[in-house]
Amino acid sequence: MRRNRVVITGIGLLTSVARDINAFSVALKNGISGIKKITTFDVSQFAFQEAGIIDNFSCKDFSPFDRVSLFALEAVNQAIKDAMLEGMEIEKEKAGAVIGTNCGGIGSLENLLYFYENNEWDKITPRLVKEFLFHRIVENIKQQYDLRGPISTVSIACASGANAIGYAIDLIRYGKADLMIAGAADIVTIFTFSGFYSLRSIARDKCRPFDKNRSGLVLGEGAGILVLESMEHALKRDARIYGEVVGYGLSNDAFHATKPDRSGAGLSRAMRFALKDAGIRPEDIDYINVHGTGTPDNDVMECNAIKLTFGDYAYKLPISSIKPITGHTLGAAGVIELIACLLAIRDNFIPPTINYETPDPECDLDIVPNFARDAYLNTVMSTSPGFAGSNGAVIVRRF
Amino acid sequence: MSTKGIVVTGIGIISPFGIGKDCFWNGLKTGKSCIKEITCFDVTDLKSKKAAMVPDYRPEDYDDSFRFCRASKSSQFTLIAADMAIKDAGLKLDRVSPHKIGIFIGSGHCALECTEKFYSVLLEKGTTLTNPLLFQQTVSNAPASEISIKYGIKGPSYVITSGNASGGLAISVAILNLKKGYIDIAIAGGVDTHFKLIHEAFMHLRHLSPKDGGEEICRPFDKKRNGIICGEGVGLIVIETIEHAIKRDAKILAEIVGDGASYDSLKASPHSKERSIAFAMMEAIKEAGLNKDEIEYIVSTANSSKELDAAESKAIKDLFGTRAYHIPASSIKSMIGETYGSSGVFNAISTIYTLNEGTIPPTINYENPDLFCDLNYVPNHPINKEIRYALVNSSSFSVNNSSILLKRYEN
Repeated sequence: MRRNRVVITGIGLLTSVARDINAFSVALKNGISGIKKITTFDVSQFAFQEAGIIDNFSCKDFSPFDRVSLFALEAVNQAIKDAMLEGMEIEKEKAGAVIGTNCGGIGSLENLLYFYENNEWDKITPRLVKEFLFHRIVENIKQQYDLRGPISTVSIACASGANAIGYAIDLIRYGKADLMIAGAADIVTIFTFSGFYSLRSIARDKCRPFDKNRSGLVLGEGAGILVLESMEHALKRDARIYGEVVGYGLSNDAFHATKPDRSGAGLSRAMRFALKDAGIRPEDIDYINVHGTGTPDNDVMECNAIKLTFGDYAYKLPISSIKPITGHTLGAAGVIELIACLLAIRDNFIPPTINYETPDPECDLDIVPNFARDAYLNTVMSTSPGFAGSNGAVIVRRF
Repeated sequence: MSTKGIVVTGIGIISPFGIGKDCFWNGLKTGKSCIKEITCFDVTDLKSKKAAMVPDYRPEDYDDSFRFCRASKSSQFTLIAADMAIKDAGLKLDRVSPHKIGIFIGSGHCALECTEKFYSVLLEKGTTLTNPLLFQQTVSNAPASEISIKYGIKGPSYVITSGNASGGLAISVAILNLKKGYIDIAIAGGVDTHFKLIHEAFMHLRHLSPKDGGEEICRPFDKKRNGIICGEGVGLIVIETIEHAIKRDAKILAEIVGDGASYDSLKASPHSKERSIAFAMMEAIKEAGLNKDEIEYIVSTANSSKELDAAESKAIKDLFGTRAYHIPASSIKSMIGETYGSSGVFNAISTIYTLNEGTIPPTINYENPDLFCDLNYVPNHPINKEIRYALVNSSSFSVNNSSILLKRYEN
């Protein structure tokens, strides 16, 4: 079956460490972290009180929207400007959006539940009821930019971002759309903080992926958005192209409701599906931006998955995790990390895994510790093994 | 991309009629209503008191393991339906590659029921004393993940959340993945449960009957319709390529020959909804390579709301012209309510029966003709008619519309 090639022509992002892609590239290159003490909600009860939060963010234009929609809209706005789509005549019926999110409008939901538990329906506005719905983010985007093509929301834990990108590229590949706004957004609230704390997943001191003394993840919030276009559409309008999305893969661990399968078999399958989809060999991959949350199980699982997929080449292949820089942005992670891959291709470097001190014999791959490395990258993979065993992998290539 | 060559081979369902496909179809074809006053939560002070709940559901009747009982109601529903669907399809999981099976679930509220419980513990006991077992159920992919763990299914999984069009969209994504050749088999459908928070929230949004203070009743297309009544349930279907189904000697229930989708323009004129619904139907017909004169039945998405019922009627008229008045278009939601994430797949399952048995379920509670809704809605009594091609409509209140074209399977 004939399929269109899909390229990336615009990027927008919002993270705790940077609020545009150029600042993000600088932060990645220099290993600057956006993790700080949480000020957006009360964490006085917890021993560890940090996350990659976005503070002092205001957006007057869209003030009635949930914070997660504001993040997403800010990133969409950047991406559309970056793709130079403003004022451009595009066929609206062939332009759509797919958004991934783990928690959706959780901020609005918390407000609503607070009033609801206290039986104060008079304080609950219809707007509040609408804003907490998962699909509200994409509808806010659709309304803002009058998109009339495919609109969808996917929510599949940490793989939401990878899943949203995959769905969007399929829609373009098979002719259902010419241009898609695809990405993900998530925020940190007391709900997620308390939840991950209850699972004992939160780090004791720092997020230190692959380190022997790693103790857990540090949450983060943010949004990452890509403008995806069919190659034909992009070339016709003479757009600048960051890279081509050549393949993606999804899989299920079929293992456990919260724990990853330490053997790495599940994630490895997603990686192999992605390689097959791209029609390339494992040795063609120059760098993997891994999930690397810093939890004891996840990091070993990922190293095993890479060894399963790449064999001996695994030891020569640089991999790194930017979680200590951005925090674990849940559903948004897959897209923010894919953006890191695109910037690494554009600016010829490999982002480092910071906070690394003590080697772990179980994580014995080249994790690009602490300092960025100069490199000319052609083909890069981003992996997102998710909570409950839903995995995703996406491959991008220099154009 | 044509949808030809995709078939349905299994059904798993829990509906307001109860558990299993037989009671679902027997209820629908006899025009029985499942809408009753809610008893599982207190509705004394509420203006809207009714819903179509799954009757007599006790998780321990199906599986008394701790693992099953602690799962959310939507996860439990999905697991039971998956079991039924896999058995109904005669799928021998040890004879197919687990990597080539995908799971596609649509859900409007996802894990909201658990999120609410988790948050109320948080408010009550404090932020450091929340329940990890509850938290792990708050991710939207919990039902899909439970199926994958129970049956060792290792292919891709998608969770689509787009209001009451979620289930229909999940089926569309499954079709796309089958066409791509990534998977051989898809387990696809939708799930949603009804609970107090959603009931009150919808009432607050003024979606629920009786909006006008009149009788609380679900009567799609009737002039006196005054809002929706919610339902709950899960519907999953097993779909695969026809080659794969024939190779494993499966019983084929129906063919999916077209799949159309459209999206309202929120900025355009007030007629946007009817145009989009018509567009989705037309796309499905075009994809099937059919002439619109060949459509013999439409399973409507109408749910007793003023706007949607009128928009769909207008869409059918715009698309089919004078023939619109002769094509039966009935709404099973008159009996089972607006079941949200599962509504699209309930419509599809009902249609599969209609194609095979030649009976069209009625739109019940229809009494007062409406000037804007003047089509053949099969009022109050089922009719018998041989149908070859039927459109399954599924639209959300907001932006998504999908239309799937089913064909009777003729060996």
